[in-house]
Amino acid sequence: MLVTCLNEQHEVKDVSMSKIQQTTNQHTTHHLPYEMIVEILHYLQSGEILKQCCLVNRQWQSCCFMLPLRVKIAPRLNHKLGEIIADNRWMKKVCDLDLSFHPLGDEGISSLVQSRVLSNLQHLNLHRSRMRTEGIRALCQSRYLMNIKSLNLSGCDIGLEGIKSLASSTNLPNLETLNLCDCSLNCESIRILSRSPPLANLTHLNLRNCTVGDDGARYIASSPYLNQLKVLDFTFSNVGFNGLRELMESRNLSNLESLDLSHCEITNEGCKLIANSPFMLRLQHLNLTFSKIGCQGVKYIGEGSSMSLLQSLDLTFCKIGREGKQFIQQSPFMNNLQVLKCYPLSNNL
Amino acid sequence: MSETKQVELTSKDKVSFKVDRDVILMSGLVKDMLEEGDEDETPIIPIPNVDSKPLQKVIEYCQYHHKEPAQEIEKPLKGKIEDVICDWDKKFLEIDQSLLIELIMAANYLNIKDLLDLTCAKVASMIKGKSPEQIREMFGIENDFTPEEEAKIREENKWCEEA
Repeated sequence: MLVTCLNEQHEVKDVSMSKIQQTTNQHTTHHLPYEMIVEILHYLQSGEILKQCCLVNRQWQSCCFMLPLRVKIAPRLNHKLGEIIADNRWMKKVCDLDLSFHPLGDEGISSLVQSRVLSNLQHLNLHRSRMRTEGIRALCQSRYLMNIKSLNLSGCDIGLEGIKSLASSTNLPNLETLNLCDCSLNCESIRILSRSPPLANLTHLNLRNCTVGDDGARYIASSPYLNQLKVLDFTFSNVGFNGLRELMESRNLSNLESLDLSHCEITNEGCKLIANSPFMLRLQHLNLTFSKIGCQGVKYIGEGSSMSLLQSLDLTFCKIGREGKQFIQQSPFMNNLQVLKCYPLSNNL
Repeated sequence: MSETKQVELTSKDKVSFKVDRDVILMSGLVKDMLEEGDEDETPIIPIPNVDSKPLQKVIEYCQYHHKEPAQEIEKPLKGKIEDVICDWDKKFLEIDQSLLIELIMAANYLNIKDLLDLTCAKVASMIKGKSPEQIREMFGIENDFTPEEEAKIREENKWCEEA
């Protein structure tokens, strides 16, 4: 055994645990310095911090005040939202605020984003908050959202005018994640978005349910500013062969790690484009659910030299059959594949 | 065959432990001291802030984890700590509360991040689901709020839900 103990004269001697135990005093959290209590509290969720820990005693309360908070305010409290945001000292510590399903509307949003207490916010979820053009304009003009890294606007009818506000705003310089799912966008919206220098830090872009088609894909592919993108979601966006070709031939998208083209018009030939793209070498997650892919498409993917980092491949409701599944499983190019979804396995090719 | 180099650590209560140098290099403090010191055959390093009992546990931790790196523990913990740590760590943490607190302080002093994370997460896990009263009782903490102050804080934070 490596652990041996020496007595005070440094004579080697075994020391039993009972002797060691006698020398130990009783310790409680009183003995913990302030920073250690903060360290412990980091492992608790914000609700536990605000409803339990800050009530323990004054020392714990001041430790709680050191922590960034991630909170959701229930939509049933929408009538009190202004009061909560304006008067609550804990709001200054909130870095992640979830206001999804709050019926805020343009007026509520405009009032919210003028609050100085939100200046530490990094993540703001406004999913289905009934925000429209005026609300997004106010948000983009706010001087208190400079630290925002992710913004979820899904289900808000912001349209073309909203995108114009976003694309021209210099008040969101740290924005990395933008969710525009179900935001009533058209091709022109995507064109404006793709020509926006202030959005050059985006790494995650969700365009799910924006039926922007091949032209939308072309704008994203040719954007000189969206070259940091790692995650791109085009689900239900009507991207077909031509749009896919633009995406696969885009050097600007060479950082992509996750691409979702589910419910698009991807065919066997489209798979060939994906599998052989010289710019998709970092792709780790590919979702082609409900694509028009058969066994041949799967063979292209399995033989693709660009697919070596792929970790997950979703081919749910693609008619690839058992043969297609086996082809992927036995592909010498897909050594990193951990998840393969191909339900149901139909041979009806 | 060359012998493994050893280091002698002396605790606050003057108990000494010989331990392999490679093992104890998990401690940032010891590593810095060894880099500064002479190349003695078995350097003696005083650890004046740590008693023998927690120091023995620290060594036990380092002996296991210098070959089996600890996995990062999620912040915040979504469930029980037992769900996210290995069986060895679970067994290691079967200690009384007083020693657990001493281990936090020892890990902090010796600058062993993984052990600090583990022990802090364990205490957090013990706090989870407890009322403020239960937390005070568990750690022998005196409530220095007036009833009015306590009521005000409760009212102030009623709105919060987890994001």
